[in-house]
Amino acid sequence: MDHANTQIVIATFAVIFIILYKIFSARAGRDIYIRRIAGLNALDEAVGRATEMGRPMLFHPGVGPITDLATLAALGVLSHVARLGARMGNRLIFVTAVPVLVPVAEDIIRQAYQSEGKPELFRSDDIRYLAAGGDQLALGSIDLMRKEETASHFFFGAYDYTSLLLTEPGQHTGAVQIAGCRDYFQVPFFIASCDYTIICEELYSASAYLTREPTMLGSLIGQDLAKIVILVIILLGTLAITAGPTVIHYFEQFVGGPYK
Amino acid sequence: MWKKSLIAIVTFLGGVYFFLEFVVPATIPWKTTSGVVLSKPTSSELEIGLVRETASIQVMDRTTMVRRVGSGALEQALPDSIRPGDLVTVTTPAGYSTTGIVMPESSPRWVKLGRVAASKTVGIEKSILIRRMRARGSGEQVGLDKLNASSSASADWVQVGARTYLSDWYDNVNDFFIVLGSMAWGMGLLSLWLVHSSNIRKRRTEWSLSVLFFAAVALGVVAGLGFGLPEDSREWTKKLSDIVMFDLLRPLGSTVFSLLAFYLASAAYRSFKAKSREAVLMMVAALTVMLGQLSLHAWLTSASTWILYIVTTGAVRAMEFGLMLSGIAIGLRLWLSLERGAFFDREV
Repeated sequence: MDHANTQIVIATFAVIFIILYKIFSARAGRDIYIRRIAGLNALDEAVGRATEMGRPMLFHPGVGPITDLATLAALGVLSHVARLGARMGNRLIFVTAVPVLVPVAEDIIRQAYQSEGKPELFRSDDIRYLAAGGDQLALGSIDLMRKEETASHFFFGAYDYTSLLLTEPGQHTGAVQIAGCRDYFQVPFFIASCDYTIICEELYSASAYLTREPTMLGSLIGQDLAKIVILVIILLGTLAITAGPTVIHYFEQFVGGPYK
Repeated sequence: MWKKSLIAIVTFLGGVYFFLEFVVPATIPWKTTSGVVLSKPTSSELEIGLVRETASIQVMDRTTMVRRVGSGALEQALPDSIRPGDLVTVTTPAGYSTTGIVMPESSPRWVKLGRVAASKTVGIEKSILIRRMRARGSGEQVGLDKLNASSSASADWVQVGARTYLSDWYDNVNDFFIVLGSMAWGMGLLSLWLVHSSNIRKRRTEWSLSVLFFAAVALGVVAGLGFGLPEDSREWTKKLSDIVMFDLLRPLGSTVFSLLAFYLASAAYRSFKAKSREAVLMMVAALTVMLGQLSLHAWLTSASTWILYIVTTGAVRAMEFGLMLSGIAIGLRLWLSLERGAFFDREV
């Protein structure tokens, strides 16, 4: 159980303050601009293509546990994809290696189909717990892609070495593939084998981008402001180390040395 | 509606606990004594040496550090391995030596040394928490029997004070996740049972594989009885468990892993097609890194190392900063039930 030192407490409260301030100013009606993220824009296109071809879609929420932020962010994208699928009258197959995700995903997808007025299209056996391990899940997913002839694949969440095992078969079958991965070591594999890739923190911003709610957009702007603050500290650190050992020592004491 | 409210309340309370546990110190600051352990503690008392700073030394390339350990022996110490409480002799490149106790304010770049100026005896009660300082990060909670004490060699640097009790519940709160996780396993198995029993009932394509699935589950359950038995056990369940784990699952796992080699080749082939400026850049960088590993020429190796350790490190750190801040933002949204689209969407 690590406890925050004074500097971390100050930094945590400062970041929380900036994010909450931006959320509340966004709620007050301030216009917010965020750049386009091609991978998230392409979700509609991928769902539309699968519907035109009359083939189902596959959603894979990664291999992280439900307590992983990447998995939670993936569930936000799942809700959006399920809604699009329901609106267009298409099937969405959800596969996972994490048992606790089964009821959660079932609830999210059922709600999506109900809110689009097509509850009859929801099939609970489309939410599948395939295996307990990453490689078995990859094999099960490949088998599913082949059997169900899925036309669009969505890979969002935390991934390990199985990322390429999951995406390369889809590339060979010609499915549209969109991936969003938190783990930067896996990002190159997704870039090589998917049509669109959402990189690292873009995954965490996906819900905000897709829902366009002021609260969510405000938090995005807040984290960008916090990034600027960190950038300033990095610049100060660069100047301090250039200025000499005495200055960098005091700077380290100020921002929190390793023993604090 | 009650479901949404219940999730929001439980999420908020859980978030409040973990947030406070992180930001509130483990001991009350003004009731905490910090210093080195001077003598072997008894069950009711702990003697702590209060250290006063005597020297502050900049660590340079040729600065050497020698640590005096409990037996009186001397050992070489690296700047990033010294712990608060270590008794070290620091020798500067100019040849000046200083001996003292490493203080918590030290860093690998600058060592602060001190000497015991006074001692204080702290009574050990139930409400007292002892935290030992580590080389990095915050202190770790330890029992009296684990403490290293010495007045003439390296000893543990401890913070002893009245506990704030928040950390005491940490394991209990985490047990909540374990209980939920155990229930979830049942749901996972139920999902498998529903899918495969439906396959068999409706005689879907490859329904025989579903029969095989149930047979495999039965075999796994029986083999599981032998899991964890001693290596030399002669129980038949142990033998069955070994066959399933080492003769079936392990080779199958290796087979799946080996598929990666072929997928890597086809993915790399596609990536190296120079379709755009970015693709050309990626191709050149990848080729440089690959050829750099072959030691063909010094400049190629330098270029490869530069790409791997300078350019990539910068990009990775930028991503880590972004991830950290996004993590705080998404955590805050979930904590305050502001996140839409997943759990807190409108209920139908």
